[in-house]
Amino acid sequence: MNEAFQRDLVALVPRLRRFAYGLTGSVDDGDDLVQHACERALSRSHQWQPGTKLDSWMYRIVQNLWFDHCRAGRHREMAVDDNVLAAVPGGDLSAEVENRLALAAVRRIVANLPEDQRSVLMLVTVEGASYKEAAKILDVPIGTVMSRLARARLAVGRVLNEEKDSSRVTSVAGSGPRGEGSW
Amino acid sequence: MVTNSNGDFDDALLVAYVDGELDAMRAATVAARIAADSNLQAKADMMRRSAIHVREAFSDVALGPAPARLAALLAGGEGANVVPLQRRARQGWRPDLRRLALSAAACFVFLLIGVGGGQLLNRPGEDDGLRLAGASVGGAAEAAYFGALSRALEEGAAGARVEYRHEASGAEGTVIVLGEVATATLRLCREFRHEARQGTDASVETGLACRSADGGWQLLTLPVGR
Repeated sequence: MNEAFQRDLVALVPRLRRFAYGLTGSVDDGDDLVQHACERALSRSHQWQPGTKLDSWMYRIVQNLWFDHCRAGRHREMAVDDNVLAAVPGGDLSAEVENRLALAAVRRIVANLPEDQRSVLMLVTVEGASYKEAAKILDVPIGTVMSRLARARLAVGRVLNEEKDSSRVTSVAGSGPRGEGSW
Repeated sequence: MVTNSNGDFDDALLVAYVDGELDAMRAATVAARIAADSNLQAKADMMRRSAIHVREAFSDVALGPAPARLAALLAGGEGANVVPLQRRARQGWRPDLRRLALSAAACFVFLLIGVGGGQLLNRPGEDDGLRLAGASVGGAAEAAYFGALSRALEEGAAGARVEYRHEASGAEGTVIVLGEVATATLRLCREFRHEARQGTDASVETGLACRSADGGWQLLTLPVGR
């Protein structure tokens, strides 16, 4: 096996895992997807042309496997357990904990976007692909990338705005003044 | 192509402007439109802000070490344990974004556990209206869970696993340390994953534990679906 190919693939794994996690909404499912994609890539490494971008090629494999998987009718439903409480005892919820919670909430919003919007958002906004690269990876016109991305970004923005409003309602007495604008 | 068929300004163009994907001429056109329209300005800001939050949320994510079978595959290829992509059964539940936002903002548990044996220093009682996220561990099994959690956190290394089992209730589970989390305040924080099982019920939650001044751990957990 081509050693350079394998080395480059290993270096890509953290980004592929993050991308797959974003697509599937789950660490385990994401890792299954990356496993599958790497197997496919290794078995088809002769198809990859040195000099072209390996990351685009790999994102495409991951995306196609996920798309096939969804189309096969095993479409995912994010099970979000909202049977949890809304109170914090003691009220010394530190800022970093609050921030981590906020970030987890953003990931959950992304996980609940429609499939096609989520792929574009992950590729462009998280992975840093250009619109042109994203269009190539997803095999859609660039205008489609733009409109899906616009919808995704507005949807996330709206939920974040609502959440900012509602967090005042659910925040717990006794925690003292909370910094505004961390959102 | 500045307005769509409804006569509204084209959101696709707006996002491309925000992301710096337009050529100079079109960018100038869009900038002029934004300057003249406060609604457009607000929309552009929203697109900009959401990008920042999404980017931050995913660069922050702690995926833990790559699974052994993936590492094996990439290390040698041959003989790697190939596991087909398989979906876990999920409950059918249609996400409602608004409810989701509320519950995501609200769903946390905050507890204190002591060092050594997971003795509870400050345990929320029933009348606090507090329950443990996921509701998978309850009653007497909680002590077993906290004992395992405390041991895992003290051990600390990413990938550390501690199993627990509470014979009387049949509740069991695994705590896995995902890694250390950098914080601005220099407090030691570790991210962990808790997989709980009881009979046919299973749930998974991720949590953050930060060392408290008294040597215990402050916990925060979020369910990650089942």
